[in-house]
Amino acid sequence: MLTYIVRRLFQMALTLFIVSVISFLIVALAPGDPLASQLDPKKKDADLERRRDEIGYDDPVVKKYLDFYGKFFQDLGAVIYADDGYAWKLNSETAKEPVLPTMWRKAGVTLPLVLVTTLVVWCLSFPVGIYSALRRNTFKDRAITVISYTLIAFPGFWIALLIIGFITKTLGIPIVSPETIGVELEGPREFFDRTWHVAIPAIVASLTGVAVLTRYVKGQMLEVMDQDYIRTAKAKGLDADTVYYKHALRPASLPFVTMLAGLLPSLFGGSVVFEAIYAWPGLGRWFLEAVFTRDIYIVMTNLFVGSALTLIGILISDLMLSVVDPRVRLS
Amino acid sequence: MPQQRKPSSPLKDALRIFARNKPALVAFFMLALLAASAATGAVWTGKRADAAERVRMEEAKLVGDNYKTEAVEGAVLDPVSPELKDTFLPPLSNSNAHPDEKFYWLGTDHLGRDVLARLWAGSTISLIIGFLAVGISIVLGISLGGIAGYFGRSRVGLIVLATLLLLLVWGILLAAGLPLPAWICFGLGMALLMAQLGISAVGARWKSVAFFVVVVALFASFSLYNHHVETATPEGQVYAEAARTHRKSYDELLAIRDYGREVKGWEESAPDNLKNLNAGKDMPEWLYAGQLRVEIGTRQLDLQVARLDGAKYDAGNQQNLRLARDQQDRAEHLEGFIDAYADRNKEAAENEQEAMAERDRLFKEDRRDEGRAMAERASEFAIRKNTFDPEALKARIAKTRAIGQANEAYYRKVIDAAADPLQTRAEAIENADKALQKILESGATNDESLRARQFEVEDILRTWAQASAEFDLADANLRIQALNASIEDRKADAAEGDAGLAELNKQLAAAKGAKTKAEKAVADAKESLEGLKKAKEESDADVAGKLLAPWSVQGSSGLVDRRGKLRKAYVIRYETAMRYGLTALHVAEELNGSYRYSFYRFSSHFLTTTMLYLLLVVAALTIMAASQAVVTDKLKGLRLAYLPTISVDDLVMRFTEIMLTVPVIFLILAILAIFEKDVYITMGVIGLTSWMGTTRFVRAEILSLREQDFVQSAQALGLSDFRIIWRHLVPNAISPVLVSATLGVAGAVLAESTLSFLGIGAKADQTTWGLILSEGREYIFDAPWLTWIPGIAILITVLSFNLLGEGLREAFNPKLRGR
Repeated sequence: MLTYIVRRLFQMALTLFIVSVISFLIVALAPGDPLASQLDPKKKDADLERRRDEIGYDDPVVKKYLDFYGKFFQDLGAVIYADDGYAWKLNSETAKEPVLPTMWRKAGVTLPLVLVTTLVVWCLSFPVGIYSALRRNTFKDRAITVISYTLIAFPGFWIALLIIGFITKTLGIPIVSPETIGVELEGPREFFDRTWHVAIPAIVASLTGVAVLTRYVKGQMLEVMDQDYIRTAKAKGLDADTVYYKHALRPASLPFVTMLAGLLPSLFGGSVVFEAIYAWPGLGRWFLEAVFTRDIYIVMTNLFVGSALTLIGILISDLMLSVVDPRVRLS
Repeated sequence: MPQQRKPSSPLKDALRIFARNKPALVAFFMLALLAASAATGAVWTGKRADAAERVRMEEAKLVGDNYKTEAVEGAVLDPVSPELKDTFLPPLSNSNAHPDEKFYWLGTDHLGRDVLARLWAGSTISLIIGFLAVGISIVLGISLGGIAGYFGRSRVGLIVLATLLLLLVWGILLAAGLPLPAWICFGLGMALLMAQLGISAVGARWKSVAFFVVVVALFASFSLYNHHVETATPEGQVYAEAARTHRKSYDELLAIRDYGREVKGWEESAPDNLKNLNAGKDMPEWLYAGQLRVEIGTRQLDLQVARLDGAKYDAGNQQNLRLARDQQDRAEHLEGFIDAYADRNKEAAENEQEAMAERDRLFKEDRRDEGRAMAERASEFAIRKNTFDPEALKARIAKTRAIGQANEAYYRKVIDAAADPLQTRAEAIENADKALQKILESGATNDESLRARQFEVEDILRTWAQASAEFDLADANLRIQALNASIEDRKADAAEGDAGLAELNKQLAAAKGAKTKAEKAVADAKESLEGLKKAKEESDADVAGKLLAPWSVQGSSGLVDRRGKLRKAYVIRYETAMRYGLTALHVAEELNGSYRYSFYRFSSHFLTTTMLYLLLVVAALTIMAASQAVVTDKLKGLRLAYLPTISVDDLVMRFTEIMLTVPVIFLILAILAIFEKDVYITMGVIGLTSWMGTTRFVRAEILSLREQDFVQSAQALGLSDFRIIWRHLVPNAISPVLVSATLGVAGAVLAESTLSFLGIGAKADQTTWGLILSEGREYIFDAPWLTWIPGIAILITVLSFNLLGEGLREAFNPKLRGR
């Protein structure tokens, strides 16, 4: 077990290194001057030149690479050790803020939205999927299938827009941004205000996920229920609930442990589209804005942290699978 | 006895199952409709050509000029032109601007453009994007997955792996700005590749060798063609010269910058240094040498640009001369069409007469609407009559010819006049350059050593001053001649007005002032040079010492300032030079009426480059595989070089995993941020970031097929790999690929619309559904149809593709066959 983890960590480090090189090359070799987008008439050429020197604009790419990751890991160390008086090395070009603490803060904004979305997706799609599989070819199953097909095909951003239109105009409830701006609320009213602002975008964002996962759960369930041992269990007279929930559901839900791997990076990254539409100042929107202003540090940090979290998620889900499924052996 | 089942083909079975699946059938017909709309959208939508435009198109076709217009001849609907009287009309409403003609089935948007037309035009782009993006991802996925599945177990030989790694590292190092190690890697990699080519030839793998040779020959011929264009055409020469100047000045700037850094470090390490430096003392030798280089480097940069200016001036004149000759040719060409014009003119005049008569009759009968329509027809014939007027054509021919002749005479004059000054100027530049080089080589490391060589250095400095003054003089002379010529030209053309002439006269006065100044500078320089000579003869050190110009030394803050200016100057010059080169090419393209120059510098022609490089990679891989096969079969002595290393499967799948690790949405956004907004780039990026799933399941499919008896027996029979893949594996693996491709199109359409919605997918003039939705977003309360209609279109398309994909999956599922 331990040797396996160590070996996997080593492989991860190698993968992460290659990913860092590729993503750095893509971003760093982009033509154009990052300072050109923020030309300040008050600034002299010499000032710009000094700034270029500071961010190492003319440096060879290798030096830029080492420079960036050197700063990144120093800052990361400061985050981990909660170093108070630390002077942050990695500062964004446009907002002049330290990148890692900002990222931490933005992740805090994104987290409730993504958490609720994920909860809705997982809590809704399992029961619905299982229900639909158990009542195959009934009217309700067909209805579920039709709805999930339609939801998958819905452009998420469009439905988000429609719902904003409906709720803000018809019901008169403001739902854009994490909380109602410009109004001081207290006690339960504040709580409900926050709840509205999280719940509606989260439900809208979860629609596609619910549809996809429901269909997947149903497919898995159907596949398992075609197996011989289920027929045997039925034939020997076990009651239906024991057959379905004890013998069928456990093996059917194993693949979903693997899907947990994707959860970690998505918890972190959130949804660029929904944050843009619902004006959540979270990570996704931050990244989108950084892309528009060509803020290399933010883009690079996001790419790297996102990749690292993906790898960690895969590792964790593999380990979990080996715990849950006794047939899986780590090697 | 049970009834014998008729044997049925798998395809028939699949069709039968598919036909039973009603949603899939409906989806199929919806998609057929969409495909029809997409196919017609390119032809039947567009800016509508009005009567004058149509006549102009016909004329262009007749006389063969490349008349470019956005208008489409047979456009049914117009998605582009705004109609400000018709903004925000709901669906099913009549036009305010043209109540009788236009009816908006789906309403209009904030600019009064027809939503139906935009939807129609958008269906073309959206569908093309969906299919091409999936095409890219499927091709990549199938080839990588197929290689990993079929050849996965064979292990890559040591030499092959080394070649691959060296060439990869070459690319990375080159991109990283380390040319020397990069080219060492390249050389080693090429040597290994050539060795493998030799082995393949020894092993008589002629097919692979021939393929490689053909591809390399193709590559070489393109390079040679580029070289030819660069050296043989004036445009190409200017372009190449601009590129060279850019490179050289860039290197020079880098060197200057490094000195600046060193100075800064020196200043920071000991703050007193700056004071001493400003007081002119204690200058370290290296700093002195560095400053000298900076001074001289900047002057050399100026000279480079001056050289380029000269070349530009010359090439521009030659080009204008050619244009003038072309104009005369054009006049001659047009003469052949006078009769055709006369015919059309006569016909149109008769038609107009008839239409007018008809109109009068209709009005007399009080059929006003019909009369008005007839009047419009008459006016269309009038446009035809006026356009195809033989007299007007004759006048045009005469004018074209006259202008061509005048221009030719003028540019000949200019070229003649410029020849001598340009020569003088070029010589002056060369002299100045040599003089600067000499100072640099004199090895002066401080004022002392510069003084020790004072006569020598001073001689150089003054020669340089004289050369540059002569250069200024030549420049002024040239300008005066050119201005005089243009003033004469202007005077001859009275219609031109006095404003232009006054401006020219002003410029002439300025140039004359510059000339006087330059003359004086030349005289001064000559005088001072003679003074120096005299002083040298008299060997009067004091006199020379007084003559010695102070070599200004700047502190480092000044240097930073200077570098800032330099960079700006450099950027402007570089851009001008490049732009000039490109403009010259563009003009040449228009001139020839063809795209002969499209292949010029194929490094700038994206598609050709990509294809060629891909071909080159494939050819190299073929050679490597062939040589490895040769060694395993015959040349066992070379086994050590082909020591098995990592397996092909590992190589491909690790790469796939790495690509899967990067969050796709972040990757797409980061890549799109680099490029200009363009829906086709978006398409490429979507394709290039979505192949990993296909690779994985194609590999799995091939792995399981490989173990099947029919493939094993085919291998046992000794069939070639190519035949096994093509005849046995592809037909069996194609159906899941088809299904995943169908679902992929839905995903790509959705992805494109999402990116366009976020404002990074499509350009403003590329009508895609996502863009329409994004534009309608602001009017979601006032004009809800602007978001509903494209949204529903996307929904239906994606749903249809999904249903079709599911239907295909069911139809191809072997478990359901024969039921």
